[in-house]
Amino acid sequence: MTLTLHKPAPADAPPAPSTTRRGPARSGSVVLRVLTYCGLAALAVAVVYPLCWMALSGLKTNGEIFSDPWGLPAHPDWGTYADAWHQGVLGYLLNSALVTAASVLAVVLISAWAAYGLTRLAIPFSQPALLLVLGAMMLSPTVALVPLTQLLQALHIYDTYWALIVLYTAFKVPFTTFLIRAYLLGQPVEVEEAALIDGASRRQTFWRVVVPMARPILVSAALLQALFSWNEYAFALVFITDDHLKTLPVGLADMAGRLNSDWPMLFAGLTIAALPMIVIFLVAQRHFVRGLSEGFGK
Amino acid sequence: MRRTPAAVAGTLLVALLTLLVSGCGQAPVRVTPNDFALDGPPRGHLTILEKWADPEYAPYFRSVVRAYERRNPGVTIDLQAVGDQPYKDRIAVLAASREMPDIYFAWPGRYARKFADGKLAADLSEPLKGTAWGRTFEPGALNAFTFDGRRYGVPLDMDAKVFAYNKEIFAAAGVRQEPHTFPELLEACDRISAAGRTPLAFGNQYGWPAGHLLTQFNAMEVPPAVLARDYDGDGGDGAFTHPGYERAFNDLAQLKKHCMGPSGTSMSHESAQNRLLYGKAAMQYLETLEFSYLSAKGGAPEKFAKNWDFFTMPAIPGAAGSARAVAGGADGLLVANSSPNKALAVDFLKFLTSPDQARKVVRDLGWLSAVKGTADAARLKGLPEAQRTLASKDMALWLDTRADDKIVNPYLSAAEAVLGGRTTAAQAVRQVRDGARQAHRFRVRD
Amino acid sequence: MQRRRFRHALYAAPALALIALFVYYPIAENIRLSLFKFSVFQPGMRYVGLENYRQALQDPVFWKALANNLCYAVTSVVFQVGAALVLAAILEAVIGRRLRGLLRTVYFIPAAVSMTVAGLLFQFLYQPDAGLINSALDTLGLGRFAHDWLGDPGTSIWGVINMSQWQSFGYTTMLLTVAVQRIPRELYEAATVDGAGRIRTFFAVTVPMVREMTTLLVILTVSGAFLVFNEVMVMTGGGPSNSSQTLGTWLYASAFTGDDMGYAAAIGTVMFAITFVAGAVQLLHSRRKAVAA
Repeated sequence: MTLTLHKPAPADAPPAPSTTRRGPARSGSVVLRVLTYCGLAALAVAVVYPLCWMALSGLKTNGEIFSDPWGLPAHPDWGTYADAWHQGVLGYLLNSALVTAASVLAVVLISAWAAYGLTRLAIPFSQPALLLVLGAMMLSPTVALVPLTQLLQALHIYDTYWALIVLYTAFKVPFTTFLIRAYLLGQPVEVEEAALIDGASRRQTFWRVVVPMARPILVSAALLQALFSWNEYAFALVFITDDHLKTLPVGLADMAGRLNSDWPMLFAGLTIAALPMIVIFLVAQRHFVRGLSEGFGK
Repeated sequence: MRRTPAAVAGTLLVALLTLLVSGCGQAPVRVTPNDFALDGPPRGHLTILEKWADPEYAPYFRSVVRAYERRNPGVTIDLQAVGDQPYKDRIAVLAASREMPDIYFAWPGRYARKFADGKLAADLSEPLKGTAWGRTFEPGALNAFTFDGRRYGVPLDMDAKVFAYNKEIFAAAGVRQEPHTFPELLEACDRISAAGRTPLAFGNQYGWPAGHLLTQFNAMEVPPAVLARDYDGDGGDGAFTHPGYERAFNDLAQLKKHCMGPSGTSMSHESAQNRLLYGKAAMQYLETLEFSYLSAKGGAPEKFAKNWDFFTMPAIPGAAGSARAVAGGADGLLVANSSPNKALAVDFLKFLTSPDQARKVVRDLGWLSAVKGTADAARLKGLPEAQRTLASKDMALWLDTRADDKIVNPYLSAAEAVLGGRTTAAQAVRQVRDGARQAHRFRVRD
Repeated sequence: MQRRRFRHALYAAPALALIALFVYYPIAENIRLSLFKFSVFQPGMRYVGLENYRQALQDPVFWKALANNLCYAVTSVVFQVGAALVLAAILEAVIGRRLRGLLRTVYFIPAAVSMTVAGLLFQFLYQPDAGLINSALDTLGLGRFAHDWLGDPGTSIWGVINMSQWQSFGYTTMLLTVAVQRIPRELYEAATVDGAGRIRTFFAVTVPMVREMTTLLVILTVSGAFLVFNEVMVMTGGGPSNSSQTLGTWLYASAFTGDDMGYAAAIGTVMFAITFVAGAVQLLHSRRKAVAA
């Protein structure tokens, strides 16, 4: 090891343009390069093919899936998608959307307040409070299914949307606070101080200065929370039993049991369920990566 | 609003505390004397939670509820059906908060007993014991929901384990009649093997098929009183010490040796069934509930559907248990002890188990009803004969629903080891006794 | 002045209240409950000391579940950290900017799909007679390897683990490319000047420079592997014969099927202890990093 190691570049430094790094890329032989490309392409196919297959199978008949699993549907039947939609997927989708939207809003707001309070304001016992919030990141409440059941029953929110909204929010507040706090620590205080000197209240400063400044990390945090809430299964399984309140992950698993062997319908339902998050991520990918690289960089 | 976070925090805390405090005051369980007589025509509201959500079964239950509502204009019924596992979760939660539906489903044996012991199920002895209504049921089905002499459940359907066999293969192998004793069964197996077929299709992938065989063997090898003590108790040192248990494991080993052919038993019960349907195997030990799969409509080849019959496990010479035992089970409905509408609930259950409705169950669902003399309505081959046969038998409730999970698990793994030739019957029994000791030591109830 | 400080504290109050009630309290209560035997069907609890933990020691399914979690953890670290880092390095070193972004996005897609969807899809892909996997093996002339992947107790947990790698490696690759991008370019240039080959450069430059991220990911992956629940429930339900139980599913089964709530709490406490150790390492690590920054 003849190299000396440096600390990684600070978060606010712009990433070096990748075009400057031609060295290692140019030294390989052509054969190796082609092989690498083939390998990467094969991996991409292995990743995407099952999902495309799932979407296509929703257009086939049961017989086609079994007799010719690799083939294209002879007569694409979009009716299956419509049936799946009406077979309960719509209801599950709305439940998921409600729980996700509520918990995203709640977690971002509560965490932003906490991060602001803990970084910018003089708070009594702020050190223990900080430890309490960040320490909770090490704890995974899924291990406490039994007391959580009792707690939710005592609060009379068992088997309601609130059970999931409250739990999803509470469990992700520590991590989200951690992300936002790390981001705020890397931002200058001067703008806020100037605003306060100009006579703005704390509340106005928070909404007009801090929130816009922290926008990239808030977007990333919201996306991470959306991904988590949309896909969460354990709590949704244990704390919701009313079929009308079930979210997609549990509803789909139930539907799979109910449909028994109507595979096209199941695959149509799965595709409908998977699509929103895939679309959101394709659209928001850039923000997501940027926010993460700044948030995790600290 | 200067204090947005403050206001939210405050409201949140107050709300949580209020909820916590209000949650502590639980509604007391009503302990009114059980009065099941209706005064006047049926009136009121009933909630029902059951587990027949499958599209084949759900319409029947909806229709019977509607029929009862039409007949009694003063009654409204809220019927909810969920799948098996969701049912278990949901009823457990309702039990914990002691907010039971008026009528709810229960599997027989230990499962139903939990509700009885927890005072969550009404004692239905008054309407069911020694009454005209009680006498309409098969006693075995009724007994599956009877604990300490009290009746807690109304059985709806029943199920029993029999050997279904291919008559053609039996004839070709020179087996002239259905075996009457266990050695005759083994001898028939030898003949079928010699004729180049597998005598008994057996798929033990999930463990319960061997559990069903042991249910049968134990019931024949061990006196009923001993069996009841060992199964229904929570284990401990003296449990499963009767020599019959070891003999039962030996019976299983004999059956494996003579009847199950050289290949393993690791396939699923359903895959094994295909071997029976397509003439590769002569017999399968299956439930009467599965008779529909043996019909042409249920997907069996025409050739087989016309050519099968069944017999129950033949008697074992020198066995100390009941020679008339047949392994089986029943599904039932319980009435909540806390229900203010017990009389109405019982009236609905009487309607549900009236001969007309029971015949519908037999005809439309293809089940064996727990109500006597109804199988003549069957569209399915075998059901009427099964009901007649079972009338002269004692139902031995599935080992895996009757005994504690902590005993069942080592029992099934011991059975698997015996089938795999890895342990002897004596070792298997020792494993079961170890399990029983553990079960007692780590029992949930005192 | 004091009053304002307390009013400021209200910014942190909702977070603290939620965390206290729904994170700290349940976990503490869980430890207490693990010392009792109780049923949801009957009121009352019986104090049994450490009996529930002794029960775990003697419960073969508990050990099977723990072993399955370990397999899960090791496999996930190998694929989601090791292989993902190699992939991230290749993407950065060999592929042009446009294509790199595209591939990274493609690899990420399964991570946006829920475990339930992925699990149900793979349940079909693993099907013994019509599933794509056996059908592919047949086509390739490897029909003798065709198998009832989830139905055989020997392979069931591996079927689940493989699905999970498919679902998750794109996510970690994405995070690792972020880390790899931050490595100063001069280091690579220096390595090239020193005549280091590509593999040598990977180990001499890339691996040490992303150590912070890999440490974080190892910890996240390991604690994730010990909490695994969703995919097992959806694909096998812990079966056949408990062969694919994990601590999470065994906790669930013990609580809601076996009605042994105290034992379930004890399993939960064991899971808590394992993930707590992993999490403590993470916290110490990030604190050290904060000091260094």
